[in-house]
Amino acid sequence: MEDNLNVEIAEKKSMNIFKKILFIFTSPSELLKDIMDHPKMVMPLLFSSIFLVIAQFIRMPLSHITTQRVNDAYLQYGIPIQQEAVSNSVYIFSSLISPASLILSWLTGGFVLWIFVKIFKGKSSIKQILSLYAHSYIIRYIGFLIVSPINLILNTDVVIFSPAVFLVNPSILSFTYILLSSLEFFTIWSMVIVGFGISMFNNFTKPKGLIISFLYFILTNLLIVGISMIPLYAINLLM
Amino acid sequence: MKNIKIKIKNKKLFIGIGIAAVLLIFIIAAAVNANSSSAASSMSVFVEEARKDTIISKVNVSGVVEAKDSEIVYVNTSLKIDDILVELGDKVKKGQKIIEYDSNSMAELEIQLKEAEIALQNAELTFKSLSGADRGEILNAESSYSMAKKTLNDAETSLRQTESNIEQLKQKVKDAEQTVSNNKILFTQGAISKLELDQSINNLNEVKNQLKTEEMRVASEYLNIENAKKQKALAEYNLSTTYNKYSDSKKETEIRIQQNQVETAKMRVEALRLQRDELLSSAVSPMDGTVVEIFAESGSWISQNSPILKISNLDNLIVFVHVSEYDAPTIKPGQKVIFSGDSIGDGNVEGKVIRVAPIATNLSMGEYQEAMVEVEIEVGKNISDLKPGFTVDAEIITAERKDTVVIPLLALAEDDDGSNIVYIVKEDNTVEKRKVELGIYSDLYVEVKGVEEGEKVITNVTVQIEDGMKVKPIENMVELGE
Repeated sequence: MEDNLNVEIAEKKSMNIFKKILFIFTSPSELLKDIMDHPKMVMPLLFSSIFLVIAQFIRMPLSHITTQRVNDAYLQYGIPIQQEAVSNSVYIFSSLISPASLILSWLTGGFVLWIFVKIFKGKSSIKQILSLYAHSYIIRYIGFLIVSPINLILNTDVVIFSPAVFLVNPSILSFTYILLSSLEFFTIWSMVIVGFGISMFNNFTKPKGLIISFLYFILTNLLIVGISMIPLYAINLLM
Repeated sequence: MKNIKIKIKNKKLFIGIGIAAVLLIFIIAAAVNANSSSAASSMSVFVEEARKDTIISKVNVSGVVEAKDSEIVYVNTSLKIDDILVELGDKVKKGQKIIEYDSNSMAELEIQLKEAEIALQNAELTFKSLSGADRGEILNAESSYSMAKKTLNDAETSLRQTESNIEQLKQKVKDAEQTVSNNKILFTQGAISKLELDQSINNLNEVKNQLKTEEMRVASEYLNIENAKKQKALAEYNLSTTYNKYSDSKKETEIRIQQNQVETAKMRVEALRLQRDELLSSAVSPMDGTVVEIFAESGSWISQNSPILKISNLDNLIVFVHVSEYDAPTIKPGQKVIFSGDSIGDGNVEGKVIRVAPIATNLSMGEYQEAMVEVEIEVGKNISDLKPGFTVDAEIITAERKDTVVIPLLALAEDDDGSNIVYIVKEDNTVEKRKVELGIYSDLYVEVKGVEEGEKVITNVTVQIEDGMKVKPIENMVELGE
């Protein structure tokens, strides 16, 4: 009987991408089971890239605001940079190639996450973790797609679904702003799904899975925030 | 089962509503912030207030300290130094003995001098013997001839004088005769006395006698002239016979050569005497000062024109600096200078410009050459431990203005017509472009006319700033990390 059940499960087909997009919000546990059995990566990454590019196009009119905020930020630190906003053609080109950086970050992030799992004596395969991580991107970039029109309407480039939105006139280069911006709602949501996935794949408890995913999240975020502050500290040293 | 499904559905609904509510809060917060920071879309600019202050225009240069007065003691011949009687840092007085030369070397010089003097004597003797007749004889003959000529001239002059006297006396006789004749008439008329008549007759006789005397003298004058002529002829004859002793031209050449040798021997004697005197004088200090360098050692041989030691007056120090051709027109003698550097520490050393070179020289400044003008600066008192050879930084104060409106140099811009402009941020944060006149410059500020005290000028001027635009002024720089 059990064997028949296992055979049934094995023979169950993998979800299509549209179902995955729906289930990731409505029934994440079913999606995670599907990922565990059929760890796919291409379609999630493809759709994440599409969402990303569309969102970038929506945000194109906001690029001058970002440029001005960067200029202001450097000015406050005594560096009178007055760079022009990028031209439309440059912006379009960079938007179209942005999926390349998405894939790169997925690859490195997924690999590091798998290392974390291994450290905690997890037994899931790297393929499962990479697939899980790729599916988490769907949440992030759907969130990015949802927030972009809101940014456009409000004429602001602040990361709306993050605590940074509560800062008044924040400097785009300040440590506080960068840190709070990284705690974006959909990003945290995706890390929760990753945590559940880790616990399911490795027979961990849910808290343990969440600890692993959020440990990864915090450490990598601090690293990214630190790296983004390097230019300013370097300039400060030179001055 | 159905209940469980309904419960799960409700739970998901509540979660969905909760999420939506959270997202709404974020959106509202973003909307509120976006409204309040609409001014953030305007450009941020650094501003600084124009203020009244003292502005000092300076030229910063550096140079090496030197002693104003220095003398190097040289020796003018190769010899051995027995002993150097002073050490580095010793203070010496003018005329104080500082070097002891080897006595053998001195003796050798004296011998050379003596030899030269003997050679001179020999040359003179040879010259005399070659000339045959005593040179004195020739001189005597020449002298006699000159005297005879003079005697003749005197005699001729005397004759002319006598003849002149005779003419005068003849006229006097005539006058006296006329007087006598007139007096006779007057006497007969009783106008004068006999005494007066007799006096006039006596006067006439006296003048006649004088005339006779002078006339007699003429004869002797003629005789004198004849004699003088004969004397002159005789002297001339003697002279020519004396000269005839040099009639041999070859001998004349030999005599001339010997004469030259006498001159040469004289010059050698003079040179050796000078050398000896200089040597003696080099053994003593030429000035009051301090021994700053010693080039030789006691007991060593030194060659001609070698320096032995250097004496400097360390109480008067100068610094030579070079200023660029752009700064040179602002430098004038008398300007105050402030020195600084490691050798001075926290002390205050001042000086003044005493000379600006009239020409510029090309100096190598790395890969290129630059025209530089030399400036001499006198170091004032209170020089403490400053020594020649130290490098010091000098600030030449070229101009100073008190209580004048100044703005940062960064605030200056140039209009299309080349005039100087600044951008003022008004109370309503709009920009006003204004033409200004500039005065003196310091390192960071400039004196300005056309800006009032307290007005804010933009200090990070870029091409994007335009007259009338709205800006967000930033007055203070944020520390990193804040």
